[in-house]
Amino acid sequence: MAGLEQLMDTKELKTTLWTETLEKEHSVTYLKYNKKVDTLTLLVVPKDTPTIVHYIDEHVALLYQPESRQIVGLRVEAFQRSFLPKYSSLQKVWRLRDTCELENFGDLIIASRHYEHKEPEVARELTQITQNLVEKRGIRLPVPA
Amino acid sequence: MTVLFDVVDPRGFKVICTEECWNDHILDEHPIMVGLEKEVEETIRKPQLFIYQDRDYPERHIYYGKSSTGVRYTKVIVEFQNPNSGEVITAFLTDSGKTGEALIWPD
Repeated sequence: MAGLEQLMDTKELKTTLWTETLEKEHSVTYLKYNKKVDTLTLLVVPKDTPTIVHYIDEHVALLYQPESRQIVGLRVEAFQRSFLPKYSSLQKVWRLRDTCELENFGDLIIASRHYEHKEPEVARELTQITQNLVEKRGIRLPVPA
Repeated sequence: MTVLFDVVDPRGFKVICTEECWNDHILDEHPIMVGLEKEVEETIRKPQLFIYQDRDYPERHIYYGKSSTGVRYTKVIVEFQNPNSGEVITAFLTDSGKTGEALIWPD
């Protein structure tokens, strides 16, 4: 990509809110796949929290609060088309998650139980992948339990 | 489908943004964009910076402008299903470009 200056160094972002929230809640607050845009968004704060997007590679971005610079989420672009095929561990739990959504038509109760169990796995795998990407930039992002 | 705004970019391509996109995609996922409709429209009409092509979805063109909200960029992603007319699919604020985006304007 030519011409666009990076305005914020990754090292200037803070992880204390992310860490403290996961220690307290043990899970993410919000996980949504946008099929039209093909993006996956993960947040450890309520979804109405204003955030800035900070790219760390060709698919993954950190989401942080503008004033505090606290990292509060992750965003993955081209999620199904390009990101998922690169990571077999995430692909596995994502397929299970897809299956659970289909089961939803047949048996609402059983399906929803499965579904609730899969979202934490997706969040965990995605955070682990992101951690591997950001650690070389001096950031430590704890993985949800 | 109600059109929130329609605008012509510097290459002469027509772009629309629907109310559904603005409310259900942009504000729902990026609440920081509240009140920035005009800024998004202007970023398409007259990008202060660049237009790129997405690396994974070549039919998506990405408009970058300087944001009025601080030291950051307004990023608008437009999908061109027809060669000369597109539709906004999302918009948000970012502090960086994405690796792999290819410059298409100015050429």
